[in-house]
Amino acid sequence: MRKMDGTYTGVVDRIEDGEIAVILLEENEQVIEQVDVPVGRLPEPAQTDGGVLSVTLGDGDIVSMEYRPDATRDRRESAQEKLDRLSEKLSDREE
Amino acid sequence: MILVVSVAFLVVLAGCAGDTGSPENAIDDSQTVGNALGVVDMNVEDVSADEEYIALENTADEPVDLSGFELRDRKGGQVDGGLSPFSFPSEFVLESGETVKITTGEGDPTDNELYWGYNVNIWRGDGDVVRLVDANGQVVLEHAYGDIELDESESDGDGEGGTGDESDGVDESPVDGELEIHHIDVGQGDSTLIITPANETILIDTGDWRQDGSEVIAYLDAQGIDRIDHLVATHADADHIGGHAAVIEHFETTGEGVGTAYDSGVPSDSATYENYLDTVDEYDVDLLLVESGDELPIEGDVSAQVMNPPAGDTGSDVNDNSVVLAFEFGDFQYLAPGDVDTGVEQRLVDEWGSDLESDIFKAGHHGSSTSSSDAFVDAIAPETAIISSAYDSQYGHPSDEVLERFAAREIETYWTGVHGDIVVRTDGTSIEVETEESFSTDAEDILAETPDSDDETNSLISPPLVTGNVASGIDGAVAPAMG
Repeated sequence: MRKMDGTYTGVVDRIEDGEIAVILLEENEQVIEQVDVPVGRLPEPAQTDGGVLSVTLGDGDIVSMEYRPDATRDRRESAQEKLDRLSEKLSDREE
Repeated sequence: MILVVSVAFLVVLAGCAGDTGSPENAIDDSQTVGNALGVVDMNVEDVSADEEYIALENTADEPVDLSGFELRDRKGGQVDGGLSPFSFPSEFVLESGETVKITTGEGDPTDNELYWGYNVNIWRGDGDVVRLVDANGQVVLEHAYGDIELDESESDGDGEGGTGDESDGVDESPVDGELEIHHIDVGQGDSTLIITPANETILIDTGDWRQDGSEVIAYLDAQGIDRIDHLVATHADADHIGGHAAVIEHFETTGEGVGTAYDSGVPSDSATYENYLDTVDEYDVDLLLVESGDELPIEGDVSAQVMNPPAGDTGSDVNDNSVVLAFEFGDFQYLAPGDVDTGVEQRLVDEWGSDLESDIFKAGHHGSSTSSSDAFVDAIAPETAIISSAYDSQYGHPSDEVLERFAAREIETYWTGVHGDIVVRTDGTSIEVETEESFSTDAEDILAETPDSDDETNSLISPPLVTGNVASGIDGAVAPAMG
């Protein structure tokens, strides 16, 4: 096994109990690893609102994290559009 | 990996009231007992605990058996404040026309005088509610005095105006068949399978992304399930929808498919969430957004009330918009609140009041201190709580605070971390809980067992990340479970 190196797309999945940020690292648009960090280590905007990060690892440890506002916005728009396209409200279905 | 549910441990939580082996002729249907009794005297204003009492009279023509019944005050009162309800001694029978005085202080019990054993007052002098509760936790008598008035949110089917079809006939189950609720041990995550008497399947959440549905699929396969009729994502976090894509793919390709998926309507930024939507798209699964006031369309006698997210525009907070479901089957109710926090819990208490009352409560957010507030737990007044989190939860779940809260209320507590898979079975009246592993259901024992219980967050420093144990995405999803 080799310790992870390089820069990955990381997404803040959630913040547990207001303290621990759960970051999902991706490769080829699939989640490949999870890293938990104290929420205070996140770049500023991500501390309150999550989002997409560039996470650089060296020898398996986080070297740096950078918030990516454009990628965050794009991903949110795309997820919302997809959800809107695929779903309808249960209450509309029943009427 | 093979997941087999062994019948290691069987607990009968609450038999129907007719099982208590009461003397001949004594009324033992609990609602009839409640109707037979009246609060005929009390001494509660400016008195010591030794002087404080309330008196109940049996106004019926037959004796009543009070075994297993409890006396308590109103919600939020002394009893909820850490004091125990008064339990009638087993085989305590009150003859027709007789009165029994229950004194708050200590003393030697007689046929007509019983003692709670406290040196503090239970009853508020200026107004309170006297409640008689049966062995199933059902309120069978409520008596308000002073400045308190019973309103709908205080009463529990014993108030006026109703048809009475909910509170009557406790001795006979009004529904046919059995409802099963399987809390699948998925480690640090959530996944609950419900099987209705009509054999419909409801899967609420699918565990963490790292398992990619494998534990859930293995469990469902072992149960012989080939179709999910209703697949619920309480919210979009990866420890709840982690297996959604794999579960949909599995049942769509090797089974009878997935009927309808339900979502809170608040998306996540994660690839895990996107995979789930892509799989819904690929297999053309109906995806419905639910909100407060909806009911899941379930066949037969089981109802599933949606209590959250609120109707209308509800913001983007994933946890707070969790789908909260209350399942009702006969006299049984089960509440599954997702990951909502104490703020949302308070809103639910305000909006739903006594509708929250449930026999079994799935503790919100894996037993975290962000959830299961005093007010919420008191409104639910559960007999039993179930917590789903890993034994060595990296987030310190369940929290000491929540376990202490359950312990103070003597709530039977189950935790997947020690009990493994936890299966609830009910015929609408009595409830059985069966667990994979044997362990105490006393919340204090569980508290003592939680690792590092005084350290809420015990792994802030992650080990170095390595390649080689990298989990697959959806593409390799199903394979591990199929082997």
